[in-house]
Amino acid sequence: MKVSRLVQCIAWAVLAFLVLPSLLIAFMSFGTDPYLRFPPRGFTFDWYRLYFSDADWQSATLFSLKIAIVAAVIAAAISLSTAFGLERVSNPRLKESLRLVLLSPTVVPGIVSALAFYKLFSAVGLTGTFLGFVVAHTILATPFAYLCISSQLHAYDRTLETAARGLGATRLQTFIHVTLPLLSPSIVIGAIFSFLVSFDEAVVSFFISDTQGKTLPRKMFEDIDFSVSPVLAAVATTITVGTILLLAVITILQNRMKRIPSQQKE
Amino acid sequence: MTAASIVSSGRPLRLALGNRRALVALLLLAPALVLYVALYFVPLFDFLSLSVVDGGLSTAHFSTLLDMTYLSVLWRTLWMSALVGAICTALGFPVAYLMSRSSAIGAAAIGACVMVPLWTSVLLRTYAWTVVLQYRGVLNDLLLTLGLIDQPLRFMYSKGAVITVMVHVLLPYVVLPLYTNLASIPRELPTAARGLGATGLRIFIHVTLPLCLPGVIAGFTLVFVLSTGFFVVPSLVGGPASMMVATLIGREISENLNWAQGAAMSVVLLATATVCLAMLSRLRHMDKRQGSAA
Repeated sequence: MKVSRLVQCIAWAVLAFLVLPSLLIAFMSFGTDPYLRFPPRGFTFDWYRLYFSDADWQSATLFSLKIAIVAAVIAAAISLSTAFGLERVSNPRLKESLRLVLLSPTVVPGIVSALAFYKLFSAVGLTGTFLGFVVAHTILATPFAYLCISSQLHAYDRTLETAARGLGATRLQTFIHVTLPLLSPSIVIGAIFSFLVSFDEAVVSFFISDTQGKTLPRKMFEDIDFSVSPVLAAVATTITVGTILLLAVITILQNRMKRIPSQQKE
Repeated sequence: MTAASIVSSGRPLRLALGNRRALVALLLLAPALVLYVALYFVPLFDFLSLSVVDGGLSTAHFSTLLDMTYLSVLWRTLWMSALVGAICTALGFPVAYLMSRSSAIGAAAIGACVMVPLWTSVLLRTYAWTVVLQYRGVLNDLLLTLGLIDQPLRFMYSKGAVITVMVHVLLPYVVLPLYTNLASIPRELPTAARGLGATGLRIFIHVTLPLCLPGVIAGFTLVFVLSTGFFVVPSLVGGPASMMVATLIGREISENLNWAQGAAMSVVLLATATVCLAMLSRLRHMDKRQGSAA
């Protein structure tokens, strides 16, 4: 059945509403005027050059990158361990409660988590520190990595492991040569999502930053209020392009995962 | 008990094996449990408990929430979140519908338009809207050029601005569950209804809509819950008259240093989110049971 023209028009208008603001910012970030204007005049990479050479922007970006990478790796490792651990829990009610515990950071509103971390970190002197951010971001990102890894753990054909064991592989060999390769795309996808959660996280970072240690979102938060400089547009566009590239990697990995033999559906 | 006695009798051996299994499970779960309990649940409880401690135990900070200043913000948060949920559902439906009826490539293209904003930071998207809605922003420029207005309008720092940006940020959360739901409806059903003489609108009301009600409810609830806790958007594009609970909590603590009051509001906010999501999950279970019975 064909979709009526009216519904189509509305749908495309909504999609335009979703996409246009970011496109507009990208377009305007190349203008030569020292303030954002539409339509932009001229064409320049100056604002990007300024972003990459400014010490404040550089340190905030590097700080965010470091935190996000470490948080993503830890989140993926913890999720992997937890996914295998939960498989061994046979009591369904206990299993469900443990899953809920793990997913709880997605239910608790950001502001509430932020203040809990803020109170703890200011008591022990962790505000604005690398360790503080890594702890907070790892906790917030783990649910996303866990969902990716556990769904693949339940999806792939477990007889492959039985076959490997039957052919004489030890438990460890089976894990390294069969289980891990089958899971690896989902581990990488989980890590990328965790990276994005950490890198974009603004609410917790807003509270646990200090003047020395601030992440990129926190610096942007401050600048949005005070400046109309096109540098901010250049920063935003750079991050958006990076996000699109990472999502493309995820799509490629997801397609590869489709080729992994999956369990027979009943 | 010695190792030999464990091995010699059957029952303790099984017990020991069971314990081994439990031990492995516990070891595998330990990193997550330690991290979550020590560095998340304890701090959360520590913060939220400030709401009931005032010398001794007290409910004073919750009674204060009944003052007009707090009550009006709580009420505004609820109705604005409900409105954002309703608008997102209304706007998300056509997108999900078109996506479910498109070719694989079309659906992928629409999916990309939905997924990219979903994973782009809320802060960046709010920033983009400040550029559009500013006094000397894109929208005013456009309206001036078109001659629709004589002087710039004030869009920023209003409820309308907050709602617009929140709808933009939260739309993907409706489109994705609705799409999954719509894509699972057999295509023969609407065709059959048409064959039996139903018009487009009747098919929609009597066939499509009842079948995708779970997706509609899920999307709406999700957006509602996420809206009630929104901090970034109301802080940046909202003003005093469009303040929402999360912003008020932040202000109470960072400006007034009134931790107890902030904690009390946090308890209310967390309880609202938990109740809504618990209801949603109960509904889903019921839905599944009905589905398997049918």
